[in-house]
Amino acid sequence: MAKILIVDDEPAIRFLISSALEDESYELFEAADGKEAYDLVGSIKPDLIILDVMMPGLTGYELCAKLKQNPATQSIIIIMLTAKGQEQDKLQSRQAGADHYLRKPFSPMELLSIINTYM
Amino acid sequence: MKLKIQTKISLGFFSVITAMALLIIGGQIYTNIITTQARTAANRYSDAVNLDAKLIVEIRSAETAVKDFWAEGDNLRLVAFRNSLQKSRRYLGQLKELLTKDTKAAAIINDSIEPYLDYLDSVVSKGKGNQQLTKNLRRRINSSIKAESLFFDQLGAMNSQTMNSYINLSRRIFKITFMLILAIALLSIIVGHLITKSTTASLRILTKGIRSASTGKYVLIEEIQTSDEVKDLVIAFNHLVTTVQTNETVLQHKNEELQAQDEELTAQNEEILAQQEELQQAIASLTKHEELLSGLYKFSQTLTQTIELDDLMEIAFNGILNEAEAQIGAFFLYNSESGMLEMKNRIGLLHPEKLSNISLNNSLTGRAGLQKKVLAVSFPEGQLRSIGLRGELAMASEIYLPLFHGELLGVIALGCTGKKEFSVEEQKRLSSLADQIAVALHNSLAHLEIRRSLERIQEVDQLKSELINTVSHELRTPLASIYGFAELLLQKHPGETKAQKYITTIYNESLRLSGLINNFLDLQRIENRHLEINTTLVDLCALVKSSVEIYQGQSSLHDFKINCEPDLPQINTDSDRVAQVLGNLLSNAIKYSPAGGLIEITVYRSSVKEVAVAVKDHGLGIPADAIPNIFHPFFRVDNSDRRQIGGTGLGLAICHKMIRVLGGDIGVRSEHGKGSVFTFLLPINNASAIRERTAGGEETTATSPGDKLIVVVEDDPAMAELMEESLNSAGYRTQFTDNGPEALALIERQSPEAIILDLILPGPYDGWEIMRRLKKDKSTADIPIIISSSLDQKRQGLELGAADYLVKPFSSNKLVESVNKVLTIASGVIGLPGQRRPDIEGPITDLLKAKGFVVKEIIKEPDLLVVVLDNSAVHIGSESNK
Repeated sequence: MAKILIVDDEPAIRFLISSALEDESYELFEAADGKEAYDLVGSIKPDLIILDVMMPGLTGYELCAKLKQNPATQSIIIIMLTAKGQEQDKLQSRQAGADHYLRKPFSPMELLSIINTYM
Repeated sequence: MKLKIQTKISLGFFSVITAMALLIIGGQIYTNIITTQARTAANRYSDAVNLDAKLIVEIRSAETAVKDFWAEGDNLRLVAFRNSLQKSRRYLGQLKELLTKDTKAAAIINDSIEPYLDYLDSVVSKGKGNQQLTKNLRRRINSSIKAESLFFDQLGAMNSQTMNSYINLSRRIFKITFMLILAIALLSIIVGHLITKSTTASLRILTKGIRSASTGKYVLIEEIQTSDEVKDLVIAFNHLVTTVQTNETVLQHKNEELQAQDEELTAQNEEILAQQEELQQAIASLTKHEELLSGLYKFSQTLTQTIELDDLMEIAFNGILNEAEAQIGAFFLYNSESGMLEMKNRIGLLHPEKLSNISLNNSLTGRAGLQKKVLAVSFPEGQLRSIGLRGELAMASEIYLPLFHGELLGVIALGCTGKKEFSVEEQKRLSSLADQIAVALHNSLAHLEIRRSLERIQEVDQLKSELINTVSHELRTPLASIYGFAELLLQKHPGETKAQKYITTIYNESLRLSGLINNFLDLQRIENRHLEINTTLVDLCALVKSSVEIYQGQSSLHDFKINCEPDLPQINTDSDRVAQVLGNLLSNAIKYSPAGGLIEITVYRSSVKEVAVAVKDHGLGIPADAIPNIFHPFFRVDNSDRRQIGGTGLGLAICHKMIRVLGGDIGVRSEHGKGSVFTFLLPINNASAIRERTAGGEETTATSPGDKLIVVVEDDPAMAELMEESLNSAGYRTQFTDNGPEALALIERQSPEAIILDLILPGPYDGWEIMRRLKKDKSTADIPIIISSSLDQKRQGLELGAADYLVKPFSSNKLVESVNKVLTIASGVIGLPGQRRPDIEGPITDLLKAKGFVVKEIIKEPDLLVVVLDNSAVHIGSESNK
């Protein structure tokens, strides 16, 4: 079963995403901030990470870049979520190496289909 | 008679010669005459002699004749005798004629000869043969011969006598002539001398005159004896002398003139030289000036080109040190907030630490800054002093240059060792330099301010975009949940429990979203002063209870406890707003004690006029350094322990502003890690809400004190207590402070109704400064200020914007009266209930105008006339009406 790590500082969002994904055949993990997420990546080695951009401490971009630069974690699919709506976010996500980018508010069904595509 | 010398001499000569000639001629003539005479005499003599001879002959003849007659008696002899007698007589007669002069001879003739003849004559006839007669005759002939020889001798004698006399005469003549000639000669010499004497004298005088003239002394010859050519000469000479003298005089005059001219010229020359020197000096000074100016220009160029404050201060300081040739100096910047001069740069100071911060009231530096005048002092009054090389106080003349450009920017103090004092010129020069520096400084500071403003704007911009991002993020996050779960509900058709969960989340998130939006909008409104306040009587306890109920449901981790003091009065306030504030505080309390715990809300009476609500949590607390900023918009404590919590940073800012608007105050006490207590106070009777009302409101203001806050700024505690007591018993709320900065902070925070301001206060600001600042700040400018001072500077006070001016000591009645008056006016609205006349506005406006008020607007309500006054134009107690 593919492992998906949900990283968002907002519990409601984590709840939303996990609710959207719960019936699918994915093993779900959650992290509330970048650091926690990074540690978790080491231990669970997820296949896909849903990563919120705006987080205190290690931001989503930083985490993403870090993971993508590390050959060990390069292959992990990273989908970024952001509440900011500007072009530069898309660009920044691209630069950070994210595989996909979604704006809040997002459609959880859409997210699901994207994940399914990648997995 | 003018005689020429020639003439004179000629005359002289002539006369001499003539005289001589005459003499000679005369002599000659005389001699001739004499000679002739002598000749004649000689002739006569010879004649006489002849005659005598003849006579004698005759006589003899006669005698003979006689004798012969006698002897003979010949008549022929008688005839011969007669003949001879006749001839003798004739001859005698002739002789007598000849000898008329010769008396002796004549006498002889007469006496002897003639008688002889006579004798003869007589005897002739008788004597014939008479012997006697013949004897007589012989005797007579003998006597006659004697007589005749006598006569002859006599003749001879006479002749010789005559001849002698003639010779003598001629000799005498000769002598005389000779002597005369001599005399004449002498005389002529003398005469000549005399003649020439005057001439020579004149000549001598002339010579003298000429000689003296030749030596340069031209003297007129006064007296001239002669009247000849010499006189002419003299006259000419005199003429010459006169001419010369005149010329000389003229020359002298000319000379004097020339001399004078020369002197003038010399003087002019000197003048010119002096002018030249002056010119040179001027040129030198101009050159110096030019150098100075070019130096100044360069300096000012550099100054204007230097925009960085630090560089500028460095350059300016060094530059002016150079110019003043000062070895000691200090550069102070004026900090208008603290009112102190801060040392930014220094050189050669003995005790720099003593001068690091100077107030305008102290020291020479401060004084220069305060008076904005250049101060120059000479040793030993200065304060920059440094120790000389040998350890004693070196002579330092000092100059304090205020840097003033529109406002005081700083002060430069310079000291010059070894110089006695700064001359007026130097002072001027340095002063103008200081002005340059001030301009540059002003520009630099302005630039700095602009940059800071820009930075601030950028910051604010940054903050705003951050805020927008955050807000956007914050808004989108709950929106995402709402949308997401709604979609899930619609598309996934979850079971009931799940659905319930989803819906609850949606509900909560939408609340959250709504709260957020409200917060944000409220903040905007508060900023733009568009907030609406609706005052009602509110029971705080009930409000707290209902708020707690709402939030209690949001978190299971927390326990809420409400402590309400009994018998709390209801307060005049806007319940929705209070609820908003409460909500914020409660939500914070929940958010920031993530581990859960007790949240305590206490409602109590904090003072006579206020009620307090305290929200206490036992959560993360606030770090001490964050507490001052906690109520600032967008400020969020960024600590690791609360990264997760998020938030906009607006909640507390909104609370703060809201409470202020409601006339209260909010504060926090917290300990990092232990928890926080947020307390807000609300006035029981809040009339200041009127401030936020637009005109046209229904309510009149009470001229009753209500619970208005008066801030008393007074350094004498006894006085302050007295004032507070008076005001409190009049029903006013008071707060008191005794120093400037505190007063300003207090006033800003509390927004009192009025301020009683003492002028003389300790610390950096005096009353005037405080008033100035209050009037400058928009948020406090409208607060009426009553100055209370022991000095009477009423006009100044009123001109600077005081609402009233009380001169100490004043009675408490006066104070309360003043406050009442000021507040009635300050509230800006006067309600005149009761009667209504159709055209009352005019008279009322006039009346108010006469009292010094400016009527902004008059609103006619059914039973009320609301007069809105212009606060800023209020002058109470103007000179014209006491």
